[in-house]
Amino acid sequence: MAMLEVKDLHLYYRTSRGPVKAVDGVSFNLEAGETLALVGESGCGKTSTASAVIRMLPRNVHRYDGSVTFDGNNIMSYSNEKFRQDVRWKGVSIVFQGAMNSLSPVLRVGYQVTEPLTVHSNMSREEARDFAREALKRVRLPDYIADRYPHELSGGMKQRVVIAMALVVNPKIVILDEPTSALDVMTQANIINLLKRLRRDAGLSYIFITHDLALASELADHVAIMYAGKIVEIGPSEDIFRDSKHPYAQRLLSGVPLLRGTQAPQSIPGAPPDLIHPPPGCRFRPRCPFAWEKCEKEPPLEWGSRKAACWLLGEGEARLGGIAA
Amino acid sequence: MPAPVVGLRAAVREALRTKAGLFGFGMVGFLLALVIVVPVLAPYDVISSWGESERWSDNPYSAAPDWLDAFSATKAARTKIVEWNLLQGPTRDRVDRFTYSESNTTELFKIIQLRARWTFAYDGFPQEIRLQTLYWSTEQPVIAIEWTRPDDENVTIYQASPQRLGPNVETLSLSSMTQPFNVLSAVRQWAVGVGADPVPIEKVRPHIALFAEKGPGMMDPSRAKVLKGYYSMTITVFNAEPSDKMQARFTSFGTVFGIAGTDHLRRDLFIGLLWGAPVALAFGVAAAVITVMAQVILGALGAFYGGRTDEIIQRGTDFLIILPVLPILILIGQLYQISIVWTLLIVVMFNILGGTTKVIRTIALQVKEESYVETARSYGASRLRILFRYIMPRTMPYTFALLALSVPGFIFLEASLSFIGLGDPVLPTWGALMGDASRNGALYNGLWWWIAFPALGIVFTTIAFALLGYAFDKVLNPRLREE
Amino acid sequence: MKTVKRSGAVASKMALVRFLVKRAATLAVTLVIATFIVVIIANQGGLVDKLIISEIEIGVAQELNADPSYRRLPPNDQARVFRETVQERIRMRGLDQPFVTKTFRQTGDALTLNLGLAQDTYGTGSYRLGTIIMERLPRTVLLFTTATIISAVVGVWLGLRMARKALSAFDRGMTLLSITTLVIPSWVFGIFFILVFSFGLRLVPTGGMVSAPAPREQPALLLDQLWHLALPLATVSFSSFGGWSYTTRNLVLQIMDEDFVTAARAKGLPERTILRRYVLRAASPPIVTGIVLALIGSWTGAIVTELVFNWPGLGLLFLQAVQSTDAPTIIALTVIFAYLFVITVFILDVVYSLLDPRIRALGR
Repeated sequence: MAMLEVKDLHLYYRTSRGPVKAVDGVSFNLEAGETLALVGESGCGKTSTASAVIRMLPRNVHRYDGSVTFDGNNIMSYSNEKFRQDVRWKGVSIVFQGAMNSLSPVLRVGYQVTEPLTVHSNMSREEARDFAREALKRVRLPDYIADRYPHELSGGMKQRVVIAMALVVNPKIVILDEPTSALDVMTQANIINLLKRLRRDAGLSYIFITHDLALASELADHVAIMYAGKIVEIGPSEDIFRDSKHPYAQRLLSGVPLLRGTQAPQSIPGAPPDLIHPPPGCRFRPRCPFAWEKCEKEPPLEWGSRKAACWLLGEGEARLGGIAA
Repeated sequence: MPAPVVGLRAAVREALRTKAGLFGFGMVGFLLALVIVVPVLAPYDVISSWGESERWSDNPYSAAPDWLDAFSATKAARTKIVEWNLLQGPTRDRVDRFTYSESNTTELFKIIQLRARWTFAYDGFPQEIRLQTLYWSTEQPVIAIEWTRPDDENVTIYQASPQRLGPNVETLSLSSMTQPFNVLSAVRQWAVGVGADPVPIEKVRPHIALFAEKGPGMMDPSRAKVLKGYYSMTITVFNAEPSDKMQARFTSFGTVFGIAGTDHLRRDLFIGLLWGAPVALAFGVAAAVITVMAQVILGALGAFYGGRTDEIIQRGTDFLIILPVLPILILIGQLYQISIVWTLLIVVMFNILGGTTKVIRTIALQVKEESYVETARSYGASRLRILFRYIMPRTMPYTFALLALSVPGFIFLEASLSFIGLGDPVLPTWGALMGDASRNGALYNGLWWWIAFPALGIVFTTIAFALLGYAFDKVLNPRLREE
Repeated sequence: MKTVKRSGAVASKMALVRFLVKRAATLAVTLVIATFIVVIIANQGGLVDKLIISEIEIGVAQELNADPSYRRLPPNDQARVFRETVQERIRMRGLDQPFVTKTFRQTGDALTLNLGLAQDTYGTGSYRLGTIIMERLPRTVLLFTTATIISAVVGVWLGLRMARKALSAFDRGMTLLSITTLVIPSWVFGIFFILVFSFGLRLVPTGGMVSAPAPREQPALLLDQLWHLALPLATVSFSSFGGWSYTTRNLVLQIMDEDFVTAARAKGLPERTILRRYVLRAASPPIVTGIVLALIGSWTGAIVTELVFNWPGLGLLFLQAVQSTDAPTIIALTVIFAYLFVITVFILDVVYSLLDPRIRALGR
């Protein structure tokens, strides 16, 4: 039994032009201590998936269902209040994209880091303050930071604060949504190292959301590639990076330019589909060079040991031979 | 998050999709139509005569709107005019004529007779009755005025040889105290003779008694009942010279008039109301456009040029925000009779910098830091160009909603000033109408329409622009959109 | 480490002080210039003085001609006595000084609250402006400040509920009501309400602060005053709550969409805590600014509203003073108003800067 089992998760948003199918039947598992990278273009549903898992829903929800089992418990059936008390932060915490904005500008940093402690465990203020200082130390920040306001810190420092905040009640899973996209390369490297160390020290599991494949390859044990609200390929990072099966994944990975090599990076023609009216059948069909009639039906995700949603696996293998890559 | 709406046309289209936008545009459209139609229907010379009493002299004063009595069982009196050849005054189609006859003409004298006959079928008494005569004569003839009622009573209400006759219009108000006692006493004598309770001479009201059913209460306005039927008035001039001429005009004033009634100076309130719209709109829109544009430009300029310019603009803004406009306007209005154009100028002066300046400055500062501005500067775009092509479009959404929302404020400022009586002395603005009404006891005398209609005009215009501004606010502030 | 920490906190405080000093300076300058302008206008550039002088001359002439001992004097003496009397009167009223000096002196006097005498008692039995103003000020405050507080409390509470139930029928209806009422000034509502509730339904008196004649014993007097206060208070409150509810609603909605609120929710904080600690804290600076604007609006609008309700406060006093060209009263009122204003704005600046630490940074 995996620590987190997500089955057939749906999240649709209601808009004036129709429901946006942001998360359309997503399933994956996460074992304890593992890191799963959720990779894809902007707008493919990565962040929505994370929101769906921790039930951070916007006002205009059209559809929200599926099965999410955390630590053996069916948390989808929890009431909002029980979810807030038992799952949020204590079980699963999240580091949002654009950490700078996660901090309230009118409260001191130390206070904000301490807050989850006073809410989720009955700690006194003093105890909580000590804990917070420990947490800041863990992310290599000096403790006078605790008395500062967010606008007095640099981007990298704010990111560390937010990470400290995410860890302060020792969650089992931390979701990290593009934790380094707003940072320069040096700071990026520092943050990644920090994350690795924390994972090792505390036995954390990460769900790492990014569009940066290099980062994903650094941290992830497993990779799930999303496209148009669905997972199109998922598996151990070795398998994915070395030998991906789904045409989209392949194109994505080949889009990374190599320092030494004569092969020019290939882009994918066309544009991502409209999530209000996605194309029937396989959603990648309009842009896929290998598309054929079978693709009018939606392909299943599992094919024996590999999980890629493409008809090319199985019976379609033969076709690959005759078609140039 | 829904995509931000760019461009004016898109914003307008989006705004029309909301209920508020629809109503707002509809109402503003209606007002604009009024602005165009009114100067055509009620041309400006009507307005310029707003101050002249002549133009309105055939209307009753403080009359109610004439459709009001559809709601009550009684029908109020309407104005009736009968004239003979009276060239002064506006000609009306519904004016009847006296019949003119001359008789007993000899070399030395003749008798002139003017006779009018009409039906009075209303349940309410006339407001007053008035006779205007124009007579050319060198000698002193004797004039007799006889009043005949449906119950065949004949009253000689006037018989005398008036002193001054010449080519001037003599107005004989047959209703009020200022007229020769002999009219009042003739009426009283006759009324008492047919059974009326006696009333002191100053309380005699010919326009009641002459129209009332015979009875003890016929001289008492609270008890008299109207006698309906044919009435006639005969003016006879005895001893007229053969060359004499006479013209006359008899007016029986109703108590109701027009779509909106009249004010204390007999002016048709409907015309006043109609003209209130373009005046209010012109003032409000002009003030809003000028001040918003000025504030936006100055805010952007300050942000853009920085340094001393910015400092000056900022200090100026703080200063003008704090300065209270209305008290100073009141002061100036009292001491100098300012026209609406001056009011506009002063208001603009006080609002040339304001809250918007600060907001636009903030937006402009943000835009200035963005890379595309740096790019533009690097390829040598002039500052002015950057200002207009990059900074201004970003401020447009905010500006447009603000324009719509500023208009009501200015309309109210002008209305407040006019209400107190310090507005434009010539133009009939809604505020002026309300001020007149309140000062002339509209509330105490139950003349609610006089104050309510202009108030409704103001409220309608205000809500129109508020809805418009609100719709734009919703459209251009994505978080408020209904998704 | 230690030095860095101290300079951080100290720098923050210094920035705050610098910001407040700047604001105070601007406000002081505004006060002085505004008073100066009003003094000039109220004196009509010297015209009022000339009018008063001719009035004095006419008055003195009439007085002297009624005095038989004067009439017995030879013409030269008459002329001399006349001139001297007129001069003395002029001197008593302070009109003998050149206009410019007088203007500066009056501005100085006004700013130091040396208000002098009015030209009328305005029903208070005293000519001293200090007394007159102190008698009328509480009435205006009673009406307008109370109404502002009521409409602020009700409006903000409503705005919060509207934001919580965003896009519901309740929200849509209240939003419409708010925006249509906030644009209409209180005196227009006043007129309508007087028509309906006073003349139509005869529920409340049509104006004034007490009945004429006023009841003499205590509970009756107080009740009478409350009865007279009812309609004006209701009117002013009703006309202003819309601004509070609409802006609060939008502000709260905007803040609820902010990332730090979402982050707070993800942290598992209960909704009420989020509302209080995150949303309201972030909303309070603009709301506080709103208070300033509301107070400004209400004090300026007070003039016409007091006229409509015949409420004997400062607004009506201003009108009466203007209509009788009572320059000292006009100037005194303006200065009082300006001081009240400036002090309020300053206090609110202080409060705002305490609530929002980012402002202190801007003061740099």
